[in-house]
Amino acid sequence: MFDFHLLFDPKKETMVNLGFENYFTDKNFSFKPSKDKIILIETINENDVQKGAIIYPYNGKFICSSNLIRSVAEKKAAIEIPLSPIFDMGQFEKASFLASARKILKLCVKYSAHYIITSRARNEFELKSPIDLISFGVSLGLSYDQAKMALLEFPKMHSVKQ
Amino acid sequence: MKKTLKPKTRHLLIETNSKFTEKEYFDIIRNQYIQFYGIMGLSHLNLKTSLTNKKLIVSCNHTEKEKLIFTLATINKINNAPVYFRTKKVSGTINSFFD
Repeated sequence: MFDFHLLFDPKKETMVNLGFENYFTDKNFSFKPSKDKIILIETINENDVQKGAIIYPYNGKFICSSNLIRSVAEKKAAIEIPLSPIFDMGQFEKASFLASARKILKLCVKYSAHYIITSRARNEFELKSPIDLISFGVSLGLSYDQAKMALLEFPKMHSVKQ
Repeated sequence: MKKTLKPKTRHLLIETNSKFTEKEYFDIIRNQYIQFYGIMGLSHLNLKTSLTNKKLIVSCNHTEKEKLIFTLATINKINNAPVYFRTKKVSGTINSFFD
């Protein structure tokens, strides 16, 4: 299992105890094309999608269109679905965030685009176990196997530079 | 032979940094679950909490397992103190946690 995106540098022991084989922090990502780093793009515009990049569909709000997902599928990029934004939100914001995430995942499954569930933890308290992240995916309408793919197979594909 | 009507339960072994009583844990989890799934959702849950060997075990109806795990993962503050609830193991029997 992979926790694909963390916003701090945790101890390796902690991550192993939680059940993660591997994890990536902000140091492993780059906003510009780079040889040894994974490209992370924060956009909702389908023209910004690059081959093999990780797309975080955020523009003040967590939204996305079917055009973006189609473009992600064509360019073999992946969409990132984070858990930690929920912690700072009010009830209605939470509901709209979860609705958007559910819609994005539905479109990803429809267009066979890759999706990666991450914790985006900012501190040790926000770190979650693989079981927690799988149940997040299942709560958003994925099957158990699809949620597992979002933590294991898709991150494996995108951790290797394409 | 008739199929049994006894509901299947699942037990979750939870890792947490907080220290509360069984009743307090029950109230915290129940309130969070109501926030996410409402009263009707809670009626299907059959929630139970226990502290066995100083470990928090939360039990629920097996069909609602994923919802409960997600709800527990979203608890990050109690009385403005940061806390975490991480599900370590899911099982049909409590004994398997202590093997």
